[in-house]
Amino acid sequence: MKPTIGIEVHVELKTMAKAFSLSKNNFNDEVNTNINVLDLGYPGTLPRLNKGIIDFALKACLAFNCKINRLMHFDRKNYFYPDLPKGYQITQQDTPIGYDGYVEISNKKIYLERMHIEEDTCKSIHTTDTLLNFNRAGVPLIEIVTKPCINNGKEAMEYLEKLRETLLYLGISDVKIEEGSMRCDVNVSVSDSDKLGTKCEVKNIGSISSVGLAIDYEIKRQEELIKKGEKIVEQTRRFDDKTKTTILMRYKETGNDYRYFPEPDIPFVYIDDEWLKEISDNMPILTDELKNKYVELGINNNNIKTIISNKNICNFLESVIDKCNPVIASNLLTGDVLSYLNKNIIKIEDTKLSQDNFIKLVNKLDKKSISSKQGKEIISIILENDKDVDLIIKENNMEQISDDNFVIEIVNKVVSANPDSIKDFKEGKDRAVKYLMGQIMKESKGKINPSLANQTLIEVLKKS
Amino acid sequence: MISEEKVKHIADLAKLNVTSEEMSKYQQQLTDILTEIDKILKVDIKNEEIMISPSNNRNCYSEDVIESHISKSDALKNAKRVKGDYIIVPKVIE
Amino acid sequence: MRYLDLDIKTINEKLKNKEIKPIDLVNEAFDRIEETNLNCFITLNKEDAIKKAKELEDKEVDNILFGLPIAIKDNIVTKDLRTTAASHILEDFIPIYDATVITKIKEKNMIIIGKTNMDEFAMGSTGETSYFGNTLNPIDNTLVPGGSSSGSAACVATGITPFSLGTDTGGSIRQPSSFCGLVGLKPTYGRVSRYGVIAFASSLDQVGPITRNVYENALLLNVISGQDKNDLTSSNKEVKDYTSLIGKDITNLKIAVPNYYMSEVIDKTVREKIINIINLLKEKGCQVDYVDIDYLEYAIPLYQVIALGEASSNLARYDGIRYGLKVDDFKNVDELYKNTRNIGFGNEVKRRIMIGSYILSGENANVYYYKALKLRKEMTDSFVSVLSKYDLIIGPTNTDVAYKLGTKQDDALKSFYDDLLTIPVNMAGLPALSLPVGYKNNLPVGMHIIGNYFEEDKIYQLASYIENNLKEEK
Repeated sequence: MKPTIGIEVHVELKTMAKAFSLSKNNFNDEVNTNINVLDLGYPGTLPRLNKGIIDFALKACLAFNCKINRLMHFDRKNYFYPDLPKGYQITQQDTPIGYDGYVEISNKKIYLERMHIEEDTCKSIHTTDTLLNFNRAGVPLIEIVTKPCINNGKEAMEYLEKLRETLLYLGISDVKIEEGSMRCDVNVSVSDSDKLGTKCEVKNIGSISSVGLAIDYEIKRQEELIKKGEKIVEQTRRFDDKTKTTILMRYKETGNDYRYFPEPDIPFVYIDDEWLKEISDNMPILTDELKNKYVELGINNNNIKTIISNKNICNFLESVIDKCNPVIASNLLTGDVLSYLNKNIIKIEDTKLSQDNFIKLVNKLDKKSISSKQGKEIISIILENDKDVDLIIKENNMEQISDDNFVIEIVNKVVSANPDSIKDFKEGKDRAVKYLMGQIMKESKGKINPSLANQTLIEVLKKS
Repeated sequence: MISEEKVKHIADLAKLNVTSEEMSKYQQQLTDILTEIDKILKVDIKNEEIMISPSNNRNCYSEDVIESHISKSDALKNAKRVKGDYIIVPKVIE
Repeated sequence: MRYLDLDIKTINEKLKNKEIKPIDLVNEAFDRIEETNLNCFITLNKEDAIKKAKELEDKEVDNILFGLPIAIKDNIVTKDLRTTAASHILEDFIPIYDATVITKIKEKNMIIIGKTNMDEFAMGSTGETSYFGNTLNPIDNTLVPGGSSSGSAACVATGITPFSLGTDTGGSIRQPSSFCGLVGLKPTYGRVSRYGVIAFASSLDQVGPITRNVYENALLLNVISGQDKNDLTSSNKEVKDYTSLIGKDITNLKIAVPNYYMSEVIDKTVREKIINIINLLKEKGCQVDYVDIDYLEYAIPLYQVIALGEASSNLARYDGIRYGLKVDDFKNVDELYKNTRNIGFGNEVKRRIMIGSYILSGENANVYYYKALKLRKEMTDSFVSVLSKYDLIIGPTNTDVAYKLGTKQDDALKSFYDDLLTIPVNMAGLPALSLPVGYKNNLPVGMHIIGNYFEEDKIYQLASYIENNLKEEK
């Protein structure tokens, strides 16, 4: 039996202003304050058009390889619901800004049917009554619809991760599923023939992993029904986080009658070559390109994964990567820096860490003029106060001695003072080297470059 | 003649009540209108261009900047059912 | 003697030399409202108008419309002044902002006397669908004043104010102007901002002036025109001085008369009045030709599809939640919607919403709506092609003169046929004016002058010539 899955994703764009009204696009502010007469659907009001939403949507179109409807208009989707102030939603039915795109995941391309711009509804809070917060009314959304080309939960999850990651790197959305700035609906059907089966929709799933679970559950549920010879009825279901199952919400009415027609209040928008070029010239580097670059620079896979999934860390790395050793930089960022951030629940911008000081530190480590242990001490200091790295080293007397003559002098001194150890070394006893290194560190008051000393010691011992 | 069922569906879409007395009148009127507008289907035209509005404007947009808001009291001024800072409606059950 | 009966230039002189004050004009307007009983107004703005007039006493008379009373159709929103669109559903609606045209007339220190009666949501051509009762025709109280701008026309015709603003979706300025013997202009679509105009059909609605004569009409158009960032369909075309061609020689104007506008459907006397004008213009040396304009005969079904489709969507916002009528009888949201709308809307409005919803439902949108949008383009192109050869198009405004109250109610189709000659102009978005050109049985006959896009100045040029050279005939 063959499952077929299509996914619809709504993503809130983080423009300054709303889509078709220029009130503030932030519904988390104080209730019913980011609104104007348009958001309330007052008599006589007409839509505005925020260019920012088109710019943002174009970025997404380019990132997802969509063709672009150069001459586009908007449409009205008519239905009554208390969260819809005008009694219609401004959307794009005839001319979605993007179409025929794809997103690459590890083993295949996920094809996109369309991507269009629309406006969000009020936020409803259900108590004994339903309370309406109009701050969200008119917030810009893009809806991204795949073709029915996904085969299982794993592919769906991979697609959504990639989508989320890319939108995040485009800087056009917060893409937080838990806060509703990314919302996923999936359509699942199973068929035992060449024809597509009857689809069931699972709406508003709360996380990417739940999408995977919901899909796999739906496939199993529908397969079992078909095996039993039962007919699948088109319906809308929801995912239950506790039981990890999907639950029937309602059977689909005989087609929704949204009475779409072109929005007469917003003139055509024509996206010319110049506009498109401006967008493509200003596209940020996206994750695939970053990953390839990091592999070439020799950063290990675990670090790459960590960096990509932490966009702020990645941005920081990008800002220093040409000026210092990328491997050392990535180790510091994914290690000490990230654990410091996680422990304090802050972002890298919230710390005192400056690029210049960080580069200095990496260069010191790179030249081995300080030990990695000292590096850890220093990073913990400069995360807190951005004190100059040179000054920290000087004040704490941390400078390592890498001067060859001095190193040889100390090593010779220690070796000649411990003739027994030479014997042990010749007999192949490891502890001899460890012991001698300890004595060398002690003699140099810990300031000697350990790897250089180690290297020198072994040469001296071999010659002895 | 347009069916009663159809008229009910339309009334439901438009959120209007159609009483049993009004039903036959609506059936008749919608049927008449349909006959009238059927005339345009018979016109043979060459162009495929749609005219959404007489306006020739294009690319009428604003830059992404926030303009003024209304006060909370203005927002709630004409609403008939208000609780705290919210406009309310009877509970909508999903 | 009433100062308000003087022409605007004279009133302006008297205001300037302090012979009269704005308050004198305001008092005259309210006195006249008392004397006449035409139900022109839904809401009077008396207290505020008097206050405003007093304030103006200390101000310099800086423009020709300074201190003059104006009446505003009640589908144009006015901050803090009740605006109902003549509907029960907005009976207690107090707008929290001004329409752009209101801001503009306030900037000129004109004084708003009140909000005029109209057909509910501008749906009708008699004034009779108003929730607040019909308006009477000042010429004969048993007749309709025309509609939907019924109060705006009656108010100027009876001398309450020299100016009013109306709106025109399918003839709602021109038809009542014609029935009341006034000059009424529907400007080019996009010439005047629709921001704050309660939408009936978004792609057809325009605000325009209703006045006693051509010159004063152009003066008011000068004030209300212009691009508005709040109306994306408003044009950035330069606002001309629309009075500038008034009095200029018309000999070189080429004029077209569509055969459709002079067919047997049109009353014979009305046609004769138009022929008189054609002769007058020919005598003057103008070229006047009869022409065919393709697709005009589809204007009414086109209107039904487009205007009512748009209207069904535009009127969806009246749900009793954020503003509007409060009903208490409901058990859930669906009943709240249905009961509010059922009690709040009158029959004509409900009928049109039903038709519009039906036209857009299911497959109908694809079958009818998109075909209508293509046909609309064709019809517009045929107008444009005539206007590439001619400066202006003339004909009658209406098929006949004003008729008895109560004759055309409750007929879904007939009510549209009143607008047979006016609707095509809205479809194409062209500017058009109705000018009184004589009488049939003592009732005014209106002539239609249709111009090319943004050439209202040429319309006024011709209208003014006819106005000045036909006087002796009345």
